[in-house]
Amino acid sequence: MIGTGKSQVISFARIKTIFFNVYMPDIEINFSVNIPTVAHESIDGEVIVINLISGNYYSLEATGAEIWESIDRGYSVPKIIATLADRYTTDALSISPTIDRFVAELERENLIIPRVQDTPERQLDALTINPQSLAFTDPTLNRYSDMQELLLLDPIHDVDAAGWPKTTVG
Amino acid sequence: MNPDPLAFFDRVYQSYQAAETAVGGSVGRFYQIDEFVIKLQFAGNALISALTPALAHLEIPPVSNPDLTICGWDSISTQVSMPPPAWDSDDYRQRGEIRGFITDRFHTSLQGGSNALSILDLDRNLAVYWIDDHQQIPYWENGAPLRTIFHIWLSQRGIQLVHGGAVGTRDGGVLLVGKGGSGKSTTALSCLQSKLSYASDDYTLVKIAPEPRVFSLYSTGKKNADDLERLPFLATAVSNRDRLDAEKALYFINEYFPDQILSSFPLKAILIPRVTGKRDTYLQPASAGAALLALAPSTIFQLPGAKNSDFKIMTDIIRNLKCYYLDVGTDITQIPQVIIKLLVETIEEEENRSNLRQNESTY
Repeated sequence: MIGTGKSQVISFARIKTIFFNVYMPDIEINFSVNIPTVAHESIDGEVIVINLISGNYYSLEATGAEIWESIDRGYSVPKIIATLADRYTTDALSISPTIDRFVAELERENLIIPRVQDTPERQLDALTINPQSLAFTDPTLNRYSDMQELLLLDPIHDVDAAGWPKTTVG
Repeated sequence: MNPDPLAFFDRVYQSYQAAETAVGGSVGRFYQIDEFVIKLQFAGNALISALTPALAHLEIPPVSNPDLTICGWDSISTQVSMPPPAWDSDDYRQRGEIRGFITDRFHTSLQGGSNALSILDLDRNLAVYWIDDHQQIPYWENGAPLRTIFHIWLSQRGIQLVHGGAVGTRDGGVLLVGKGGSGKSTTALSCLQSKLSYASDDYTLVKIAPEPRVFSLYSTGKKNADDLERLPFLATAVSNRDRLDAEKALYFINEYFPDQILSSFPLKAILIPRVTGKRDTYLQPASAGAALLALAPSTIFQLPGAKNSDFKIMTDIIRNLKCYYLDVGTDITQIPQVIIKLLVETIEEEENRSNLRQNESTY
C-alpha cells in the first residue's frame, strides 16, 4: 500500500475479510488497530487516529470513540455490539448494522486489520468514555487529508550519477 | 543492498573530515538548549550564513565537551563528493526516512526538495548534515535548520519538538498550535510589540517534567507575502524581500528584537488560533481533542522519525493544560492583550490553589 495514499487500492486485509465473509461465514472476523501504520491516542473521550502512510488523520467522538477503544482492547465485533447495547437504550439488533458499517469503514481506511480470532483481549484501564446520553448516536469518522502534501507519496526516479535524488527547489 | 548504517555513517563522516581538510579547517559555533550544549562544526564558511542565524539567540562561548556535535558541509564549496547512497531509490519513506538506516542507534533521512541528508549516531552523539550545494538550501531551512537532528536527539532527553509557536513571560506562556495558515505566526509576531516575549512562531521545544516548559529553538518568523501589511512594524525586517514572489517573508527576530526573545518559560495553556476577519480577538474554550488534532498530525507529518511516542508526549502535554481557541481579529494590538489577560488569570488561579494546599497542610 506504500505510495498509494491517494488511490483507492483494495488492501490485502480487506480481501481477506471479504473472503471469510463469503466463503466461511461462520468464522468470526475480529480486528485490531493497524500498528505501526496507525498511531492513535485518546483524550477526554475523543480519539485521534493518524495513518502514517497515507497522510490522513481522523477524529472519533462519542460512540465512534467507544467502538475504537473496544477494538483496541481486542473486543470482538459481537462483544462491541453487546457492550454498547448494554450501555444505551437501543437494542443490539438495531445498532448492529450501524456498528458493522462503521467497522467496515475503519477497515477501508486501513486503520484496523483482521486478526486471529483467539487473540486475548488486552487488559486496559476502564474505558475513558463517559456517555452523557442514553440514546445511541451513530458513530462518525471525521477524516482529514490536508497533510498529504507534506509526505513524499511518489517514488523517487530522478537521481544524479552518484545515485542521489536531484534537487527540486532552490 | 544489505543495510549497514554504521559503515555508511563512517564513510559520510570521513568525507566530512576530508571536506574540512580541503578548506583548511573547521568553524565551530556553540548553542545552549536547556542543560545541553550543542556544537555546530562546519567545513569552511559556506553553510554558516544559512544555518546559524535562526539559532543566534542560543549561542554561547565555546566549551570543551559539547553534548552533541553536528558536522555540516556541502560538496560544491569544498569540492568533496558525498559517498553514493547505500540504499535503493525505493527505500525512501514518506517523510524522507531511509529504510534500513533507521535503527535504535542511527537516524538517516533526506529532506524533500533540497535533498539535504541528515544522519545521526545516538551512541556517539555525532551527526552529519550534508547538502550538495549550499546555495540550494531553501529559505524554510534557513528559518528552521537541522530540525530532524534536533528532534531525534532531544526526544531522547525528554524534550519534544512540536509544530507550534510560543509567547509568554518568565512566569508563563502559551503554545500556539495549528496547521500552516491558521494564524500562529500572526499571533506570535504581533506579541513583539507587547510585554510578551517571543520564543517561536512555528517550531517549539516542550518538556513535560518537572513542569510543562517551553524552550525556544529558532528565533525566526515567517509570514505569507500577501499579508505583510498586518504587521507594518516588521516591514524593514524581511530578510528575503527580493524573493517574496516565491517565498514567505522570513524574519530573523534576534537581529531586530533581541530583547524580546525568551529562551524558556513555563507553559500554562494551549491556544488554537483561528483567523476570523472580524475586528476583535477573543478566547473560547476548546476541547483537549481539538488541541491534539491541531498539534499532533502537523507535527508528526513534518518530522521524519516522529512516531507513536511523540504522539503520546504531545497528548500528555495537552492533558495537563487548559485549551482555548484564539479567534484572531484584524486589530492585532488586541492579540497580546488577550493572551496577557489569560496568563495573569491562569497564574493567579495556580497561586491561589497552591496557597490553599499550603494552608490545608498547615492545619
